[in-house]
Amino acid sequence: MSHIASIGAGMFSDMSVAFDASGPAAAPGTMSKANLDALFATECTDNTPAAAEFIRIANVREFPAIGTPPNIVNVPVFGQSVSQQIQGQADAPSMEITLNYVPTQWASGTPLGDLVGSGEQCVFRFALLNSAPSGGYASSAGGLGTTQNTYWYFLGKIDSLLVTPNLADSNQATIAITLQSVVHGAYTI
Amino acid sequence: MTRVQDRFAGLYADIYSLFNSAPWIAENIKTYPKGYVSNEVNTEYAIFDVSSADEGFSDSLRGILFIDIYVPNGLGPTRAAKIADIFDKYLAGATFATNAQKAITQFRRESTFIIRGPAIDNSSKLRSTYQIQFNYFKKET
Repeated sequence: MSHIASIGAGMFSDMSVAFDASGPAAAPGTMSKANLDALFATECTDNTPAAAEFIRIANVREFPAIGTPPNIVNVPVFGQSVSQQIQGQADAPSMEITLNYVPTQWASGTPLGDLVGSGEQCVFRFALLNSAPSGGYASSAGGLGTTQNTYWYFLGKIDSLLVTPNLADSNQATIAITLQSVVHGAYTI
Repeated sequence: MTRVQDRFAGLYADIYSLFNSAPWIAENIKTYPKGYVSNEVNTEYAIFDVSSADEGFSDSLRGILFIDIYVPNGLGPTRAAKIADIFDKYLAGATFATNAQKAITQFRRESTFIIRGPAIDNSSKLRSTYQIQFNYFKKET
């Protein structure tokens, strides 16, 4: 399809993690779009991932800002009334995702559950979607490409999962992801 | 200096595009806009009313699509609920853009459905209401 070309709400946005048969998929040697797309070829729906499969982080209530944060350094310049700004080294960002907690997706022994706090580096994909892709969420023309889409890849770790029991609303959890790379994208397919 | 907006007509065009579409017609739920008089005699039908009462951002609109669903009274609310589910199938989370270069209408994923009881003007009909919020996003020109 193409990048999202209209103003709109990203109601069907998605965060996914790439897996293979032995655990989270290793980052490709070259972080190119083609190599990264290949890791997200088929959605795993039975919690038993195989090569080139990905698992969606489901029931998300709220996404954080996605991207690479700037680190602007102010530089005083002698003799000028306005200081200059230069770009310094950016801090490694972390992001928190709030979701409706469904323990079956995060239990010990499940692919996502075992990632929490493991220190294992994974390949993440965040897809900005204003409408549901009729062909599913794979990084292919027949998946995300069935609707206008814009997506990014990054390496990261799931560092924590905090569950908030709720007496009047859904139980919620907050997962913290620390980024281990720059954010690659934005891509479309 | 005038500035043509066409946003209200554009909003209606987007909504009509659903109710004129072949998949919707195949559902066989007669759906009319408020203010339209039909000569057809239907055992079940729906009347929709677009309320763009809430203000949107800049050139955009925001509002609620109200739909009155009428089914035969005395048979219970199940059929009305099924019709509301059909409206959800086509509206909840859906995007319509008859002129995508200028604007889109995007419906929220949430909706509400309430059984109201026998219709005031015809007690042989059970009236229920389905509501869903929408945003009409218009690009600046």
